[in-house]
Parts: sequence; C-alpha cells; structure tokens
Amino acid sequence: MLLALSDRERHAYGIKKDLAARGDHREIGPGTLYRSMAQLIDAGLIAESDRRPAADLDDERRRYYRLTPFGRRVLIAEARRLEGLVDAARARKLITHPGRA
Amino acid sequence: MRSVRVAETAFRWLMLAYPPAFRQAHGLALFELFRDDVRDACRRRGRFGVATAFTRACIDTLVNAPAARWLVIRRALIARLEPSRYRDPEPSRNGGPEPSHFAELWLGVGHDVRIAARNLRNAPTVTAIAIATLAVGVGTNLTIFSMVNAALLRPLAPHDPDRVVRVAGRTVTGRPARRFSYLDFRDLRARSTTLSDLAGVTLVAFVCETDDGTDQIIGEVTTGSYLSLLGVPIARGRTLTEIDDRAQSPPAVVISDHLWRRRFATRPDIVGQHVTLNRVGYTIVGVADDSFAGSFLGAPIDVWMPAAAAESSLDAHWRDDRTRQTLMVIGRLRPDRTAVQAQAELQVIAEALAREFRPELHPIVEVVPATLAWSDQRRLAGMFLSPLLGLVALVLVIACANVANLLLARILGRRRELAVRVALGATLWRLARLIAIEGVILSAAGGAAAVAVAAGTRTVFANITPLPTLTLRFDMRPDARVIGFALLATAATALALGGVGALHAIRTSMTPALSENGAGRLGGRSAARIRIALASLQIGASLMLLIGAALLVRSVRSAAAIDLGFDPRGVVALDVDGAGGRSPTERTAIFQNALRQLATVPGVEAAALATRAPLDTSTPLTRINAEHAVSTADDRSPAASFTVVSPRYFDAVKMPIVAGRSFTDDDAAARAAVAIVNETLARRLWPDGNPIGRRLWLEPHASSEACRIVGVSRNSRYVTLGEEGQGHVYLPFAQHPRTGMTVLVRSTIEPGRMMREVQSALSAADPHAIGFFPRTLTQHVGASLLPIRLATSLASVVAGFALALATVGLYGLVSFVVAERMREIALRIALGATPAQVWRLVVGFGLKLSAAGLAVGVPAALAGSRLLAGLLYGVSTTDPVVFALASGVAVAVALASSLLPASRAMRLDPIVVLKETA
Repeated sequence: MLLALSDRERHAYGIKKDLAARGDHREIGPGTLYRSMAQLIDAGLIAESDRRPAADLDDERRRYYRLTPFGRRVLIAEARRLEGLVDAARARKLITHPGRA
Repeated sequence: MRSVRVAETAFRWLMLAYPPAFRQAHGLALFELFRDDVRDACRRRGRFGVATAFTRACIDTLVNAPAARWLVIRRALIARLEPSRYRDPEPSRNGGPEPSHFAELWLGVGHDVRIAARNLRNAPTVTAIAIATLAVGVGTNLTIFSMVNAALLRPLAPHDPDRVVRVAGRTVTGRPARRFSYLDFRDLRARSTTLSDLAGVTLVAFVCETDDGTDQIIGEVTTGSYLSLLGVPIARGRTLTEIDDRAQSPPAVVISDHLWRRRFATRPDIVGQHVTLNRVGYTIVGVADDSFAGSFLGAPIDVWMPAAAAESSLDAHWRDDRTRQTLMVIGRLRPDRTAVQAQAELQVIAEALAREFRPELHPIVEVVPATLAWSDQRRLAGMFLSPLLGLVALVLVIACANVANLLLARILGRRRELAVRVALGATLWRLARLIAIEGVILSAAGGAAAVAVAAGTRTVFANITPLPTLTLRFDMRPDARVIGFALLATAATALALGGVGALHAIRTSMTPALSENGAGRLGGRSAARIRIALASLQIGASLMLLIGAALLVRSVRSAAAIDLGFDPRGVVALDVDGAGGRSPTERTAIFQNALRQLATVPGVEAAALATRAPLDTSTPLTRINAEHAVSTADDRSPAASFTVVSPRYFDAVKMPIVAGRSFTDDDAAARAAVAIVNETLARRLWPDGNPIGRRLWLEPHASSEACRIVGVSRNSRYVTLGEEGQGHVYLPFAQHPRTGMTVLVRSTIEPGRMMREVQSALSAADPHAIGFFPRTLTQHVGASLLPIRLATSLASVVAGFALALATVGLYGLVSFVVAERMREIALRIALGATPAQVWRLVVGFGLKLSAAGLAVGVPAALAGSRLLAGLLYGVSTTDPVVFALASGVAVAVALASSLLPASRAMRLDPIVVLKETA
C-alpha cells in the first residue's frame, strides 16, 4: 500500500486497483483495505491529503491519501531491507535472475 | 442492476458491525469501495459476480469488524498513555478513528479506581470511619424501608401477583364490609366470568397439641382452591385442593415452615403426621414454603385448613346463613380481563344477590389489587412508618455530611498531590473524577456494609410482640424492591459525596498549592464555606432528629397519663373466638354458665363479656339515627363505635354510669331492645335534652331493632388512645348474642392463676370453648401504644447516633479551623491577647456554627414535625418546651465540641508556632 502511494496520491479504490495491478492482492476486501489504512494512519505512515487532483478528475466524495515523509522513509527502509534479503538470496544462488525463482 | 441495489443495501446494514468511530471516518469510502467492486463484478459476470462480491464482502467484514474495534480501543489507549500523539504535528484530518467516548471513559475510570482504592487503603482509619458512618446511615434507611416493604408493598400472591385481586364490599352507608357470607361467596364464584377462580379465607385461632406440648397458634381456614389460586409454593408434600374441602374427605392441613421447625424439629417425615387443633385430629399433607405468610398482614399464620374440616372451629350456621359474613374473598383475573371489568361484573352479581336474598344490605362491591395490607392497614402503617422514613433520611443526610467533611479534610491534606497532578497535565475534570470515584467507592462499601446492618436489625423488627401470647411476623427479607432501594440509597450517597468531593477538588486545585509550604492558608475561602455549610447542615439535621425524638418521648409520657375512662389494673382478658360448631343459643348458654362459675371463684369482683376489650383498633363502627336528634352540620347520620357487653361489664372495667342505669339480667332477648351511650354521643345527639328513654336506630350489623337508651356511660377511649370525641354505643349481650366474645374478669387474684381459672370455667361449660390470647388489660392497653413506643425507641437511638456524629463532625471542623488559624492565633497571643480572648474566639466559632444549625434546623423541624402528628398524644407538633430543650442540647453539643480545640489554642506557644510557620 505504501508503494501504491509512493508515486502519487490516491483514493482507496485507486490503491486497491494498484494492488490488483501488481498482482499480489488481487481481491483485497474493503474492510481489510480500510483497516490496514487506519493502522497505517495510526502508525503515522500515511495521511489523508488536503490536496486534490484537477477538478474534472476529482470525485468530490473521495478521500485521497498520501505518504507521509516518515512513511516514505519506512518504505525506503523496507525496500532496502528486502533488497538486502534478495541480494543475500542471490549470493547463495537461490535465485539467479530477478523475477525467477 | 436490481441485484446491485439489493447488495448495496445489505452492505449498508453489514457496515453496522464496525465501531461507530470507524464508520464515521471510513464508512462512506468503505461503501464506495464496495459499490465500485460490486458494479465492476456485475458488469463482468452478472448476478453471479454480484453474489460473489457480496459474499466476499461479508467474510471481509466478519474478519475486519472485530479488528477495527480493537483498533479504536487501542487508539484511545495510546491517546491516554501518550497524550503527545494528540499534538501530532501532522494531524490527520478525520484521518483515523476518533477515540470512542466509551473506551476513553472506561480506560480512564479503571485507572482512577485503582488510584482511589490505593488512596483509601493508605488512610485506613478515615476509610473505616467513613464506611461505618455510611453503613449506619444507609442501613437504618434500609431497615425502615424493609418495614415499609413488608407492611405496604408486598403483594399477596407469590405467583403472578398482578392478576390477583381482593374482593371487598361496602354497605350503602359506605362502611367497609370486607367479609362475605359463605353463600354470597359461593354465588359470586359460580356467577363470575371475569375471574378464573375465587377463594375465601378467614383467620382462626387454634389450640395446637402435638407430642411435645400444647400452645396457641393462628391459622387460616380457607376454601379449597385458596393455596393453588395464590400459587403458594409447597416445600414438602402437597397443597390443599377442592377435594380436601368436602365434608367426607379426611381432615387435612398444610402447616407453615415456621411450625414445622418449631414444633416438629424439621423432621423429614412430616407429611402424614398428625396434629390436634382445637381438639380435632388432622393429618399434615404439606409444608408451605416460608415465602408465604398468609393473607393477613403480620398475623403469624401456622396452618391452612380447608373450611370443611374446620366446622368445629367455626360457628354452626356459617355455611347456610347469609348474615354470617365470615370469608375474605380473593380472586384471580382471567388473562384477558381487568380489575375494572371484574368490579363491574361482580357489582351486577351482588345487586342481583341483594335483590334475591338480602334487600337490606345491598353491598357495593370493590375489586382492588391484592397487596398484603388493606387500605386502612396501609394508612395506619403509613402513619407509623412515614415519620420514621423521614427520620432515617435525616440520618443519611448527617452521615453524608460527616463523610463529605472527612473527604474534604483529606483533599486538603492531599493538596500537594493534586497540584502535582495538575502540573503534570491532569485536567480538572480528571482530578474531579478521581475524587468523585473515592466517594463512589466509599458509598459502595458503605452500602454493602449497610446490607449487613439491615440484616442485623431485621430480626429486631420482624417479630414484634404486642401481647405475651402473640408474636407478629413480618417478612422483612430483602426482595427486588429492597435491593433496588439499597442501590438507590447508595447511588444517592455516592452522588452526594462524589459531587461535593469533585467540586471541592476543582476549587482546591485552582489555588496555587505548590507555591505554598504544606501548611499555612488552607483550601481557600470556598472550601471553608463548604465545610461550614456541611457542619451547619449536620447540626440542623441532628436538631430535627432530636426534636422528633423528644416529641415522641413526651408523647409516650403523656399517653401514659391519658385518662382512659376505665381502670385496666387487676383485669384479665381472654378471647373466645372459636365458635365450637355451636348455635348462637347454645353459645349464649355456655358463656353465661362460664360467667356464673367465675363469679363464684373467691377473689373475683366482676366477670363480664364484651365483643372487644376496651381500646381495640378493630372495634366496629355503625351509623346512627336518633329520635328527636338535632341534625348535625354535615346532615349525615353520625358514626359511632359499638360494643356488645354483658351486665357486669361496667363493673369489670370500672367505667362509671353517669346517668340512668347499667344493663341487668332483665335486659333479656324477649324484652324491649335497650342501649347505653357515652356522654359524647348523648351530647351530640341531644345537646339540650335528657337522652334516657329516647330511641336509636343502628345499622343492621349492630342491631336490627330500634334501641331505647337506658343509661349514659362516662367517656372513655374505645378504638385508639389518641381519639378525641368518639361516640360509643353499648348493647346488651342477651339481646345481641355473638359467637366470638372477650371474657373480662376483675379480681384480686394473680393474673396467671386468674387466666387458668377462666380457661377451666370455659372448658367446664363446653370442651370446645377455648380462651385465646390470655392477657392483662394493662398489657392490652399497652399494645395500642406499641407503634409509638417502637417509634420512640427507634427515634431516640437514631437521634443519639446523629448527635454523636454531629459532635465528632463539629469537633473535627473546629480543630481544623484552629489548626488553620494557628499562626493568626499565635500572633494574637504574641501581641497580648489573653487566654480568655483566645478561648472566646474558638468557642465563638463553634457557637456561630450551632446558630447556623439552629437557623436551618428549627424551621425545618417546624415543617417536618407535622409528619409525626399521627403518633403524638397530648403534645403539639410545635411544643415550645421540646424545641427549646433540643436547641439547648444542640448549643451545648457545639460548646462541648469546641472546648478541647479552644483549650489547645489557649496553650499555643506563640514563639514556637511563629518560628515553625515563618
């Protein structure tokens, strides 16, 4: 979800679609989505955005979310951690090419 | 698309599973997400897609709703423990679930309860005193309320009491006629369609003989379905049925749990045992549960007997004579009928019965909800209990004031702690809550202890013994109403204590305590004002109690000095109620034989019969029409009480005849009907003429013929001790034979032996004639003083307790003020104030407090003492002596409780004090 918000602000459905597009959470339920988002908000990783996209693209009722600076740092740290993990796996020849096990 | 709309509506409902805070923040978005989802699914896979999406959403909700709830609580927790999060530099606008008020409240309260409990534990003496004070305050209230409950509120029937009604009658003259003849009862029962059943019951005294002795008990003689109509639970054996109430059935009885314990030592094989009642053998078929005590308030019912088996204890014609009004009637309403409908129906039936059989009576039927007490019993009990309720409410006020003062003193002592809390960011509301919770905890503990207090006092009041042979039984065990009252009283206490404490905590914490040095100026002026107000309230309330108690004590003393109009000393009385299955003529002969035999006993001065001994609350009344009477202002025939007496009655009770003559043996059944009236009635009917020779008409239950007046008796007390100007009529026994009479014998013989003489004279005349409730006439008169005596002793104890509390409270306040003004006093001494001046300063403060108490208490007592009016004899509710004395005592108490602090103040060493507080 942090990744979904890393390039731009999205509303919840946008996050959902982004998750589905990346293929790892094809059918995330609305409850799960919002609960997870509430947890992320509590943790200070994401926040509701004041800014809105251009009026013609905007749906009045939708809330947009953005990554907080702290969220961005956490996302980068997590990506680094995963990268390190992947590097370590590669060093042990568990995987050879990115994307193939 | 319809399926989409249905799914969307269903999802709105589903969303209710989420906590409100979560719904508020995300509900709309959540719903839109689902809507996008379901529309998408519909486009792609039609109805099937909608169903799948909805199912998925259901599972999703099921999993996430509880998690979201936890999230909300966790948020509140974090907000509480780390308030800095509230000041998040990047506050998310509606970004997360708001901490729900509920979670907030409850997390904080739990925390405060722990702190408050710890604080209370750290001051065990203060806590113990506070709890004990509250226990007595709430406990006395609980005791009196249990009495109110037992006497006024308890329903008659153990099972479904709302459907059970009492059927009562009224004569055309408006006189209550609660009893119906057996025939009337039978016809009402046969003709009524609104009541599913009716049952009749009457009170009968029995001589009970078992293997381990003989004594007198009271029982209910009932028609067959009585116990089952009321739904009386049976602890052992079976209930009584219609079959037991048939002439050919073997005589069976159900006994009370009480009798089973007392006379049968709880033997398990009680069912099938035999018991002899009024010399007839009965088989015990069951033991009633002790939750049921019969239909007569206070009567210690020990046996239930079917009417058919009780013929030898009732009079001979009770079943076939419509004038023998024997049975109290109760009924159970059909499920679809109301008491109003039943009353309308029974009224029609009663009118028909009156037309067919007894045109002269024409009763008016009333159907009333069946509480244990009748309306006039309730009025009497209310007269006795409402002032007591007022008194104990005052005790609670005093107890609360005392504990509140204690709490306030503690708050002052903890000023620094509170200030630190404020400095660390506790809000005033939090602080107030913390203190309030202490008050609530104390009240709860006090309330719990009060239940124990009430359990102890219950045994004292549950069994009142007006006569040596009669112990009344009131069911004072706590039921839902008593528990509810206890909770209410405790809650009120908690509110008062918590409120005062919280208010004060707020005020205290606003004074800059941290800058001070622990001592010095305490609490500010508002605190002092609250404490002074509380102390004045205490003195005022104690004063009210004192005045109440003093009025009652004076009343008891003046009641003892009331001129009864007869001389109870040296007279014994026995009731002969059991009619022994004899006809009235036979009864008359039996009574007369017994009297003749008694007259021959050496030492007996006079032996007589009367329907009631003098001064009996059950003395019946009748309306009167008189020949050549001066019509009264309200143009209604006056009412008078009446007694049927035998010729020597006026000698037996030493009641002088002031004009005309007494009854003689010549006033026989065959002669012209005669009567004697008292002075009051004579004066009222014929203010300016001679009453002798005039004629009187009474109601049929008193006399069916006109009576010619042959004498006037001196005024006396007839129904209650407090009555004034009661008119009374005496009728001769020979002309109005009754089956139940009281034997009165004046003698020089020791009462115990005299009672045995009366018993043996009765048995000699008829083996079934038994004298019940043997007592001296002095004891009989004393019984009518019982309520006021009880109220007096209770009020005295309570007033003493209140006074002690007020003394302690006042002492505490004066000592506190001395401590507070120590520096000022030391300065005064240093500047040359004499010890006497210092003493005057302190004692003057105490006296000012008591003056404030008087200013509150005297007007309140003037208003409140009217409640006591029903219990007072010969004392005005505003008796100046009582008010002066009580005020004097209150001032003396104030003086006494300031003496010790005053002497301490006098002995202050100014150098030491000024050095210490510099």
